[in-house]
Amino acid sequence: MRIRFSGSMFFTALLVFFAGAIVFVALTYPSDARQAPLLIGIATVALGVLLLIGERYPKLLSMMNVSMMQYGGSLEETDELEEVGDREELKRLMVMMGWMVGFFGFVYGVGFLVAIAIFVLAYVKTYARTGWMWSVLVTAGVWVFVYVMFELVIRVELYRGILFGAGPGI
Amino acid sequence: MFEAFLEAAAYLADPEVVLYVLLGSAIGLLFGALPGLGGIVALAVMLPFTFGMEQIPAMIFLAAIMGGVPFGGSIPAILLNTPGTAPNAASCFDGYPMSRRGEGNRAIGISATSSGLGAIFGLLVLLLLMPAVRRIVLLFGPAEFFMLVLFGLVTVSFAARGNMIKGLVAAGVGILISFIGYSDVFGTLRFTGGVEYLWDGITLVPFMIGIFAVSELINYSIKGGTVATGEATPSGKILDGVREVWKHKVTFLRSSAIGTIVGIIPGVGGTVANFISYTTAKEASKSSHTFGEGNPEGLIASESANNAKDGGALLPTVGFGIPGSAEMALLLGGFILHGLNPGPLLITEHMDVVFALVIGLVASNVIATGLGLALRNHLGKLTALKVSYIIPIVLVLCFVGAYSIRTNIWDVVLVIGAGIFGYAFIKYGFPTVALIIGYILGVLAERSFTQSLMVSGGDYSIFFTQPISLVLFILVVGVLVLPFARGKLRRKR
Repeated sequence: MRIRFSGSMFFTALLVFFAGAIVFVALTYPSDARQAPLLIGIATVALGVLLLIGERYPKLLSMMNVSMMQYGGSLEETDELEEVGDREELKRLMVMMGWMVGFFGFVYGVGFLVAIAIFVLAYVKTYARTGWMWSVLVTAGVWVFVYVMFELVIRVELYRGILFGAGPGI
Repeated sequence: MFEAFLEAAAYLADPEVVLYVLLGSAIGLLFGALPGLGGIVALAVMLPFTFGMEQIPAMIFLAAIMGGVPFGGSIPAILLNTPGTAPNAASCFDGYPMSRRGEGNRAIGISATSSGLGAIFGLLVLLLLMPAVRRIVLLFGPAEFFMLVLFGLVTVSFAARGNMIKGLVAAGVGILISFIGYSDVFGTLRFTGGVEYLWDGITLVPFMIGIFAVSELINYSIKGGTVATGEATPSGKILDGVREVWKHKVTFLRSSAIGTIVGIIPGVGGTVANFISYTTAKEASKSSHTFGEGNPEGLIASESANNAKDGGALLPTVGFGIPGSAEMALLLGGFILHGLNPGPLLITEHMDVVFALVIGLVASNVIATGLGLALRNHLGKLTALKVSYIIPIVLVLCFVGAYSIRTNIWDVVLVIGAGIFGYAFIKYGFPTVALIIGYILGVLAERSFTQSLMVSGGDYSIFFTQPISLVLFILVVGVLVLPFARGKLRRKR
């Protein structure tokens, strides 16, 4: 029998692995410090395994479907946005992750003030398809807002980046 | 209690605090009007901005944001058939048809009046119940508190849409994440894997920003385009809408009561209150056949319940530290950020904070209503804003906000990780609110569990022999068994 691994199955397995790892590590702690992690960890692993079985036999879990309306997640709230296929979705997810990681890389290297200017300008110019004038105006607006709010009002010195002498961490 | 009220109210004489209320209301209105963002994202993004504020002004600011969101969300629902937030969905059913037949202003008038009065109704109920809750809270020992936390977590898992097991797994993962770092109960480091960054645990604000705000931005980037299309210029008279609420005062009172009661149930939130209220109003109405075609009663039911729920949701949040909704979970994050311990101590020792929240909510409802009415055309047009502008602006605020709390650059990495994790959670049907509530309550639950066992000398029967904890245990079992019982009943039918 061949089992087809879906994204949902993979993610559930990841959660089970996390809970299992907590249980495994908790065993090395003194009895009072491991009590709650063991209790919750074992229960989470058991429920996660039930979900994995349910992925293979959906009817088994259908009785646990509850019908109170959505309130936490929000994917359903934005139905008006265009629907995309799985492959395209994965591609766009990777692209967005690339932007976030890239932005962080810039922040780490050259600090917030330079990175914000580069990131906002690049993002708006790439996706909003507007002229340079408007893109620069939006970028300047965001930059000024962040600088005034954080550096002047809240008085937080924003990270300056390792290239400009900031420490590697804090 | 009156002294605490005066203490909190005195802050309104401070021009800086008045500015916070105005700003919070405007931000709430703006985030509410932008579909997909809503109150949760607004609070997650704005939480770091409160870091430098004093306790009371910070609470007033956060409450003002919360107060502005529901009315902001109703404007695109009425004008463009696009709810700004999920709990505004039922407002589309009758608000949009009214708008299409040239009664947009009347519909907005109804929404403004129902929203404002609904919120005040919920808060009045909160204030009326407060003395009783304060007395009940004093009866709670660690065993009762542990059972209450358990009840809250199970209810949240049940309230999640879809599969209850997924809700329980989400809550379990949230609790397990909360165990990471130094435990002041046991004086030991746990689950850090030798990573120094994890000694303080998974930091609250960056984690919440990632789970709620960045996950939403990832969703935006994947879906692309604009948030909504279409254009509407409201016509008709706003005052007609105000009179309409008075004409249907029974519907208003019933819906506000439903909103308040549903709000009290942990984790259930506005969408459920909204739909239950709408359905009840439809069943009770003499003109139920016109519901969905622009019946003002439908709009009154939806909007008054949506706003009244905040007063109800505040009750378990401030009384027991059990958040009544996802927004309240973020508010609890705000409490922790400002050195307040969520739980019974808050309502017994910090009534000024509770009153600050009430004052902030009342003031913001009044201000947001005025602002919303004045700017209704512009707020409606905001939905046509390109996602490619929203993403970089909000992402910058998320990164800078997360960093500013501890000035630790690795908190930004946590934001990215939590954002991807949160996106996967939503995509695969795991409720993020159960995760966050589990994360917030995990350590509190462990502490009360350990204290209970210390009191009983290691005897677990303490959780079942005290009357209150026994009742709560029965409720926990009841909530867990309910889906099975419902399934069996359905099959029998």
